[in-house]
Amino acid sequence: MQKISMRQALMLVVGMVFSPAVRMFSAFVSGRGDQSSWIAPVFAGAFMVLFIFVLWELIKKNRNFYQHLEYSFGTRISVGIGILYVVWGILLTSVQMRYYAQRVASTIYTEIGMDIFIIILVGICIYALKNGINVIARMNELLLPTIIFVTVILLAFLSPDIETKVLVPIYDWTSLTHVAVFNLGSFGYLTFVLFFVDEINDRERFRKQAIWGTVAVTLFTVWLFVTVIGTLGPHIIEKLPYPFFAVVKQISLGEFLQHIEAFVITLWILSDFVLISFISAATLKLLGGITKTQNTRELLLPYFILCATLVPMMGRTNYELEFLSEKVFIPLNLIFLFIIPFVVFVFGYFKDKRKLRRSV
Amino acid sequence: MKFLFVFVLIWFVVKLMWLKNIQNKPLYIAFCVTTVFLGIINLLFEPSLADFLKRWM
Repeated sequence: MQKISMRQALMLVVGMVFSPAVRMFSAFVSGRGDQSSWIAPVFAGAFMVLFIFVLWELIKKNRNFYQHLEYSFGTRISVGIGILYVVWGILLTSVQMRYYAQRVASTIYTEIGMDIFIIILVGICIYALKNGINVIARMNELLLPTIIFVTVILLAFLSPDIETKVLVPIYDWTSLTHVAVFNLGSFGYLTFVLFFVDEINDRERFRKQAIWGTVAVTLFTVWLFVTVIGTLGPHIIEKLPYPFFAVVKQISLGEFLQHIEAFVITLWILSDFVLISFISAATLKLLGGITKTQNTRELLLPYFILCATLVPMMGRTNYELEFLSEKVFIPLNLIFLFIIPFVVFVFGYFKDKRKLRRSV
Repeated sequence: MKFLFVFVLIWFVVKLMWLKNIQNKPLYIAFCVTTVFLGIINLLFEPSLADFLKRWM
């Protein structure tokens, strides 16, 4: 098995966050986001930095997540929790596939159904994951700089249009907390690194690189929020299905540079590909741990077909999907990416202490 | 989606004929059965998870 470096693993996480970060404005759909929301990623980032220390305590023990579950809770409970993780992973993959297909079908290919986009994505994901996570990691080394470069250029074009008076006053703590929780739902994808600990070479670099990665993602998200809220205003965002797309549509340099929004679609597709592949690989890794199957490659096709079958079942409209995201997947992400790993850490800590006391 | 479903059915039947190459047969069959079951529900009822949860929450 070819291992990946910690830098590659963290680059995958940063690449994954782009797509949900752009979608993060769904927090506004419920009317609970306002002008102060641009500062929310800072709170989410600060919390994430604290959580990195918990993850570090788990990662330095050289056990992957399922081995941690087994160590902390024993075989039976760990199988139960593992199955819950697999079900959540399948549903998360399906909903991300749905977001990807819906975005493409409702922005550029409005005459075409979503099925064809799902079939293409499934095919590419299976092909890429056939040789393991290292292929995705190496691909992402090319994709992530492209995503960052194009986004930074787009945001730089938009920055002069920002109206700073739209961004103040910052007073609504309810809205801040609401949007920060939304941010945590995607920042928490960092926990997926724990699933692949045995496939990562230089684990000792996790703490430092993860903190830098989180700071970078936080600053990027703040810039994104400032640009979109500052350009459109919080009340218009509430009514738009894809606010970032709408903002980018405004960019034009005379007749020389127009319809730049096509770049955004490309970035979405690239980021969605990384996101869906990484979540699928993590879910299959955990499934392999539960069933003691070393090679889960043969399950790639049934796994993705199952996810593709679930895609139309997720919801009928964009607003139903936003509801699903806000009421179901964000809370589930917080439970599976923060609460359960923290409980695993606490149980493992006391078990270690008890073992130490016995040996003394 | 109907096209995909028919393709999946054919693929699973073909793959099941060579099951001896598969490391974890019960898991593979479980995936196939779940997919076919969900596919049939999907085609017959066109359900919506969000709509279902909205009624319960």
